[in-house]
Amino acid sequence: MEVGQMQRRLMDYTKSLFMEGFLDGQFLQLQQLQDESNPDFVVEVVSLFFDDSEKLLNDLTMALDQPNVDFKKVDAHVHQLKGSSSSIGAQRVKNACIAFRNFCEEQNTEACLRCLQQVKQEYYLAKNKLESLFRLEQQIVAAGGSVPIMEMGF
Amino acid sequence: EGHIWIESEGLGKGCTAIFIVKLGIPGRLNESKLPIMPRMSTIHGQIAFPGLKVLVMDENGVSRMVTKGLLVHLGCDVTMVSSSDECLRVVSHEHKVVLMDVCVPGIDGYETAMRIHEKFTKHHERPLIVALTGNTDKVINENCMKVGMDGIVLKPVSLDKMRSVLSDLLEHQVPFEAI
Repeated sequence: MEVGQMQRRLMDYTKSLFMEGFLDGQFLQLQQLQDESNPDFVVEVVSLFFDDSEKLLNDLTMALDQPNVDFKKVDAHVHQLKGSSSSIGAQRVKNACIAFRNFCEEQNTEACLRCLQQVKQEYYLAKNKLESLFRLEQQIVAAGGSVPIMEMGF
Repeated sequence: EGHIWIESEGLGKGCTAIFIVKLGIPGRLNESKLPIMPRMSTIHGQIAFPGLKVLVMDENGVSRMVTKGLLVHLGCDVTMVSSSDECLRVVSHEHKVVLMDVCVPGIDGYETAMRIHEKFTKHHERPLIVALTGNTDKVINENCMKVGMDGIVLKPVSLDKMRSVLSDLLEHQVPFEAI
């Protein structure tokens, strides 16, 4: 596949992620911050997001597994996850966190467990999509091309 | 007054557009008539803040990294801390702006703002304090004003918003000298 085709494929893929709500405008903001002095900014921030989130999801699983659930702690973890996902534009993860926090307030363990499942699902989907995106970018660069900059009208 | 035409060697060989225009010559520049240096420097027509020392307090690692990226892109000299204690230890009169996250349960951004006020009794030495929050409501707004914050920004912050917040903030202050 030649560079032009790969670039078009990347553009189409990125566009679909926005259309399907996986990513929002904040992700574009991150791309704007990438430049010659900070060439891997997006990958670095997203990698940090992956590490942070997996730890938080583990902590959440443990916290909800306790005989007496500490909802304050659960809420604090979800709050962090909401903050990080919002910072990188992972819209569906963020929305799942918002729903989760409502049930923390109600101290509803069953509902919280369901929410945790939902958040995990959204997170792994987002991770998958973003890793595919980065792979496409790497292929373009490896073939000697440059990664096209997305411009979107919202 | 002018002329424009296209030349080409033939199909598939490309073409060259050539134009001739008449331009004026600017009058001699008189040194004393040069405008006063603007407060903020412009790079490629965009406002930037070279060397502006900013302290960022945010417990969330990802959000902290993004905020730093934003500020560095605008030319700022950024220090990051993750707790109120660290913030109070590190903050100095060299910092022109403190950006603090106030929406984290457990970290009291409000108290930190008040302690910063206490630490810097001379008004012009005190850094400007801006609250970063994930949601604004009347209560948060009022609390921020009560503790003497200079501004509130809703997260996530876009590049344009950060640029305009900093530029508005600095406008109301004595003009700063880029370090």
